[in-house]
Order: sequence, then structure tokens, then C-alpha cells
Amino acid sequence: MTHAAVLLARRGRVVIVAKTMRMKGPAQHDAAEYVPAAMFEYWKTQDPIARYEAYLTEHKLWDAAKKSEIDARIERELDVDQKFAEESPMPPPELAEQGVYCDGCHTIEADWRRPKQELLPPASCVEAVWRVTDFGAFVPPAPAAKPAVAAAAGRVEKLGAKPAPAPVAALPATPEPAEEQPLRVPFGRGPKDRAFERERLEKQEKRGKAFVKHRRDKRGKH
Amino acid sequence: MAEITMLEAIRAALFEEMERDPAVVALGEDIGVYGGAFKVTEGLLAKFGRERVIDTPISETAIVGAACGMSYLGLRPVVEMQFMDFIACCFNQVTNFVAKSHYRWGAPVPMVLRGPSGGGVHGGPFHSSSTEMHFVHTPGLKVVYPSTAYDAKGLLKSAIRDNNPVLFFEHKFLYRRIKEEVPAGDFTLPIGKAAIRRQGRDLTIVSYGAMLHASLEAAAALAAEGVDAEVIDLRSLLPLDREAILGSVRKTNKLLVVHEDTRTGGIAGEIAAIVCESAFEDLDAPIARVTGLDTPVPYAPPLEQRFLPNAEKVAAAARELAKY
Repeated sequence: MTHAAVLLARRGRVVIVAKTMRMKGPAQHDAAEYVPAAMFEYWKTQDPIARYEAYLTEHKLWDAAKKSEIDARIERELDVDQKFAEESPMPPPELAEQGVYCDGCHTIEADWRRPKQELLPPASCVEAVWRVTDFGAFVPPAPAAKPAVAAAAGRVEKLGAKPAPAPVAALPATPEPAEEQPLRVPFGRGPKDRAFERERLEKQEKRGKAFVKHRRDKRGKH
Repeated sequence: MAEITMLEAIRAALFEEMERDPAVVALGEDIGVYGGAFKVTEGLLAKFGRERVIDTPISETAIVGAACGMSYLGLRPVVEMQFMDFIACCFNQVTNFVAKSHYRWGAPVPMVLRGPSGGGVHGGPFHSSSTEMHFVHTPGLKVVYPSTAYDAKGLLKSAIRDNNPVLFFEHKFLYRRIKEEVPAGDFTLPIGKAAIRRQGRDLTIVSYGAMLHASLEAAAALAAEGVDAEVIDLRSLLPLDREAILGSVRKTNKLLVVHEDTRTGGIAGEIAAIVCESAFEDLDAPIARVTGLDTPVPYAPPLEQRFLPNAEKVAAAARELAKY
């Protein structure tokens, strides 16, 4: 699988998705008891270390003696490091105050893999304008045989010509706006929203009264 | 009445509030099946079910965003940050969205964001921060920081019932280390009221969270030396109980502020400004402070001890102040 991925990668850019399984809890205190046992059992069979060991044995690339020699060497290295850590003195308390900022204790240099000149003017200069040509612009439908846009069909109708024939899957006509759109109050609970609603009702009421008054006045005059 | 730990008090508040009001829901990382990293929410899922106790993916932004949506629909979400350090991941949601929601859109966010904070347990720089001041600097939020089991229960209940977003800081050093008698039934404590933990007349020590206990220990040591310190527990950093601080300073004329948070931009600066504005004439000495260092919280024990204030450091500063 890895070999195949490498071959693929050599031909061009490739994204490798590698699913892994954490076989223990994230720390000593967590025995990962919440992971179903069957899940661990399954992933044990997928363990790349165990599988690689099996591969080495199968292909006679190592034997039991070689394996135990490697294991012993690793154990030895770990023991040495553990001993070093445990025998080291605790750091002096004053150390706590050091290291928050880099005051020249590091030399920071990028690991350039290409000429720096490429990133400096004039090589870096570009014409600083938007190059997107069709962004947000209306692109009229190409004068094709099938007027597929509903709006176009409507226009034809208005001009008195025959409405576009059936094959045009005309978009559903926009519904007539209702007389009174239900007011959409986004949250409907805050004081500001209530004030908004009240204001609308008051306006409506006032308009209603004014209309009635106007009619009455008119009638009175005649 | 049984003695319970602060952790048990917080758990009791959660259980009681979820039982009282079906609109209260809990969500966070590993709070359900696992019972929370510190086991605060243990048993919650079994009792209230998956609809109200939600194990979330590891995305603080998504958690707070979802909780905000829930609160728009009339629920009262209680979000657990596994560690308060991780709140940095949802800083935008909390400060730009949750905090400004009522001001900008008239949409209240009755949310509680609670979690373990602070150091002293060898958690290292990413699990020990005191992040409260980022949010004390954000209008629209309330920041509560209890220091006793009794307060933790009463204040968490108030926080859940509050119509505003409340950040509820639980000092992880105190979780299992302090115990006291806490009534089993329902009670609440007002948010924004400080408590005078010790009456005194020589100087005032203002503190909160784990450092309150260091301050009390220092005050007890000072009492043996004839220095009578008054100790104020802020309990809530936003709103801040100005009157409690000013009243005490007017009485003792000397002020020492103790916090575990880093020194620069800590609450001590704000308190000093308030006292200078309103009780300058009452001061007999410069305002002193004992705080964490201006560094991340270090991991190695001797370094962490150096970082943290403790009773000796508080007592030393208070002694100097008393002599002034």
C-alpha cells in the first residue's frame, strides 16, 4: 500500500489519508476503558509494527535472535535515558523567569530552497489589481436554440410572441408576494424586538384610523 | 449536613439544576460516557440522557457556537471546557459572538461556560493557565470564581439561572482539597457580591480562587505576629464588588491584592485603579500585590513553586505593608 502511494506520489501531487488507532489512553491515568474491546482486537491485527515484524520473519530477513538483540538494545537506550533524567537535579527555581522571549538567544534563518531573489523586487512585483473577470458579473445566456432561462421565456411572452414550447423546464413562477408578509423577528424575545413589533402595530393602527377619518371627513363635506 | 468537596458541590449544582429545569443542558468534551476529565459530570448522562448531556467533538468553537444557538432557542446550556486553557480555541465565539449578542441583536445568551483553571497540580503551561482576565476585559460576560464548596454550588446555580453568559472558573487545585458542609437542597448566591472571609483592622488582603486560601493561611500566621489582616474573597471578578473593596480599605487603610494570574494586566491593576480613584485619601501605604510571574506556568515542580504565590509570599508582602 505504502509502495503504491509512493509510486503515485512520484507521478504528481497526491493526498494520502492514513487512518490510525490510538491503542492506549492519552495518558497514564486513562486506561481507555471506554473503547470497545472488539475495536482494540481489530486494530491489533492492523498494527503496522506487528505486521512488519511478521513480514521480516516471513521473508527470513531476521530471526528470533536478531529480534531480541534489537529489543535489548532499545531497552538499554531507554534505561540510560531514564537514569539520566532521574539522576538529574531539579532545575533551579529562577529558571522559571527565563525563556519567555527570544532576546537574541536564537538565530532565525529560513531554510531557503530557492533563490531569495524570487521573493524580492523586482522579481516579486505584480500588477496589484483583481484579475477575476467574471466575478459577480451577469453573463447573458448564449444565444442557443433552447432558451433555458425562465426569465427569457417571460420576456418572450410579454412581447406577444408564442410562449416558449414545452421542453423548456420553466422554473416555477415566483409566488405573488402575500398581502402582509408575516414579520420575521429573528429572536423574538429581546426588548428591542418587542419594540420593533409594537412600532409596526402602532403605525398600522394609526394608518387605519387616519383612513377612516379621511372617509368620514369626505362624507361630511358632501 | 455532610461535608463535600468543591467538585462534589459543583456536581450537585449541575444535577439539581438539570432536575429543576429541563431547559438546562450540558455539553462538552467527554462529559458523558467518560464523566468529564475530572469526573465532575459523572452520572449526568445516565440520569438525564443523551439529549441533555452531549459528548461533543474536540472543537471548542463548535461547542460554544452550538450552545449559543441552543440559548437562542430558549435552552440554558452549561458548557464544560475540559481545561479553561482551551477556551482560547473559542475566543472568537465567546468574545465576539456570545458577549456581544444581547447588545447588538437584543438576543440574550443564558449560557454557562465552566471548567477547571489554574495551576499547582503540575499540569504544565497548557493545563494550568489563569485565563479569567481575557474575559474580565470583555463587556457582556460575567466572570465568577468561587473559592469554597458552598460558594461553588450557590454561584453555579445562580450562573445557570442568569440570563447572561457566565464564565465559571473552578480552581482545579481546590477540586478535591477543600471540604465543607454544603446544604443538600436548593440555594443560590448573588453574582457580584464579595465575601469578607476574615475581619481585620491593620490591612486588607483581596483575593479569589485558590489564592484566597493562601491569603487566609498568611493572615492566620500574621495574627500570631500581631498583624490583624482582613481577607476579602471577590467570588466574582465581573461584576466586581467595588463597595466591599473600598469599604474595607477605608477601614484598614492598606491594601494587598493576591492573585495567581500573571502580574501584568491582572485584576490587581484594576482594583488598584479603583482604590486610587475612590479612596486615595484613605490609603496609608502604596497598594501592594502578590501575583504569578509574567511567564507561562512552568512544568517542573520547583519552577511552578517559583511561579505561584503562596502563604509565605503573601505573609512576607503583608508584613512589609503593615510596617509601612
